[in-house]
Order: sequence, then structure tokens, then C-alpha cells
Amino acid sequence: MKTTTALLLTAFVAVTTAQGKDCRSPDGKYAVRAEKTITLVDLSTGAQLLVIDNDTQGLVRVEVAWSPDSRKVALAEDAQRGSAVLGAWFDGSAWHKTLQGEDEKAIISQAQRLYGGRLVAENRVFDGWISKDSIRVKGTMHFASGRRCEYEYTLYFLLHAVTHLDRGGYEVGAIVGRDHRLL
Amino acid sequence: MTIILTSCDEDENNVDLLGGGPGSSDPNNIAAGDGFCGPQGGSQALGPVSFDSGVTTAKIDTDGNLLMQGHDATWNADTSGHVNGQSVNSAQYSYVVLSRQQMKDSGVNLGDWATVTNSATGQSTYARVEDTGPDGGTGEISQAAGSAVGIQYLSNSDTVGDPSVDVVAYANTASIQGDCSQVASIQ
Repeated sequence: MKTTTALLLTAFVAVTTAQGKDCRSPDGKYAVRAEKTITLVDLSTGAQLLVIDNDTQGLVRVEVAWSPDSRKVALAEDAQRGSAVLGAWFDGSAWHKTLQGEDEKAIISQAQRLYGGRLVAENRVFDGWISKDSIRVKGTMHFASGRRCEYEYTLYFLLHAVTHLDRGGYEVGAIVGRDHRLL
Repeated sequence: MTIILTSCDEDENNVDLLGGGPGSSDPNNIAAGDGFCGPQGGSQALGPVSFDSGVTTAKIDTDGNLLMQGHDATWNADTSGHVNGQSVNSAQYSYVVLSRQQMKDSGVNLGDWATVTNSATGQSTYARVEDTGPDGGTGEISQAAGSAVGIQYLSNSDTVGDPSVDVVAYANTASIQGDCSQVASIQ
């Protein structure tokens, strides 16, 4: 039941330039809106609270996964050959945004040794919230050899681990991928 | 959104000025490196470096070059970045590939200006960020950018030897138009 509920909270948002798409939080107060940018909006006032991504050009798919308590949201962005995982959280007074770093280096190296050739494409999807602070992520890697493999890891929200603000305006360190394993 | 080209679809004169390359009308012209545009105002107009790959092994991305279909196992007809609504041709357009994470972390978006430098020879060229690659990838450049800095590659896009490049990108520069009165090679 828990898994089912978590899956129901995961919504796919097709990126379009003509019309925005909303993905509402479970409590109905907020929505992630994908247009030419991806924003977080307050549905009661219509106010834009946060620009999560200032440019959706090149994206073919955005997956939005709200935590059950509506205080965190994770986004998996897929372009044609690569993906990124972003997040946002509410600290009680304001929303913040973060970006997963390059936590995949070790498993990419491991997979490249096993499957041959360099990594040429990858994508990621969410596989349900495990707790209010962690969500399962599954990915697929494609290699120059023509082979591919699947892997998974857990994405943790570590809100006290922020180290700095990057040039893109993301608070670095607030989401971290751990426990990677090939499937 | 940083797309600056949508209003120029019918303006052939502007087409040449907006890209990192001149947009050759000859689809068979793969003699890359000749006449790429640099940014108006030169390197000073680009401001501080936002992303620097460091010295890394060069890889050739052939996306957008229809002639490479069937030769490069990772070939795609489309590129993430578009110029005048069209994907860019790897053989004719000097572009670099960044991962989505690298773009978001550095504030760089598709269309922003970049430079590619051959670490061994010092040859350098202007380019734009026009494709998205996998997580952690660095040094991926178009055929045109590779040729412009003296990198040779085979018909399957594998590079000859083990060339190294340094890819640098500049955030919020997509709106700077190209100046085709000067060649893009950076002295």
C-alpha cells in the first residue's frame, strides 16, 4: 500500500512550450509547473515561489515526485542522451532548490568496465518514496559497445548538508545519491 | 528561455550571424573549421568562465549530421539545441556537449557560447553549447569543433590518437550574436 501510494504521488509532466503542465502536491497547496521554465507555484495565491529550472529546452521528459508530506519534491529531467535530478524543499518559511551532484562516477566506472566502451547515454526514473526524506531512483546506462544496463540508488534529502550555492543558484549537497548497485 | 532565434526563421542574413557557425547551405560540406563565427565583442563580451572541463579526452559527437547515420553507433538525427528551429549539423556547426547536471550547476544553458582548446597544440575555436550528454561526460564536441582545433577522427567518430581538449562555457551568453567578419579561431 505504501508503495502504491508513493507511486500515485509520482506524476509525469510532458514538457511543452505551448501550454504549462501542473503537478500538484499531495496537500493541494503547491504545484510544479513545467513550461519554458520549471517553477514552483502557490496554488492559493498563484504566486511563483521558486524557479527550479530556468530552461527546459532540450528536455523530452520531466518526472515530478512529491513527498507524501508535500514538503519535498524531486524532479528527474531527461534530455535525449542525459538526465539530471533536481529537488526542492520547504523549510517552514521558504522553498529552496538543489541539484544532485555527480554521485554516479563510481557506478559508471564499474558499469563501463563490465559492459565495454564509454557511457554515451543515460536516463533516470523514480521508483517511489522510501521515507519522507528518501526516494528510490532507477536508471539505464547505454554504452558505446551497444550494450546497456540498469542500476538503482537511493536519493537522500540531507537538508543540513548544504555546502554552498552553485552558479546555477542550487544549494549543493542537499540531495545525495547513495547505495548504488547494478541490477 | 534563452532561445533567441525563433523570430529569424525567414531571415537568411541573420541565420549566418546567430550561430556559432555560418550555417553552410551545402550539406556535403564537411570541410569543417572554415569561417566559424566568433561572438560579437570578442572574448571580452563573454565574461567570466562558468564551466571548465579541465583537460580531458576528446570525443566526437556526430549528432545532427545525416551523413553519419549508420556509421556512428550513438548517432542521433536531432540535437538538444536548435538553431532557427532545426537541429545543428555536427559537421558544419561548432558545438560542445555538456551533461544536464553540468549545465544546471554552472548556470550554462543550451545556446551559450563556449571555447574548445586542443591541449596538445593550443589551437582553439569558439563554439556553442548545443547538445546534452550523459552524466559526468566531458570533452564531447562536434565534428566541426574537432576539425577546427586539429583533431582527426574516423568514419565511426572515434578520434585518431588520444587527443585532449579543454572545453570552457560561458553562462548567459546565448543572446550574444555571432560576428562572422572574423574567423572563430582564437589566437
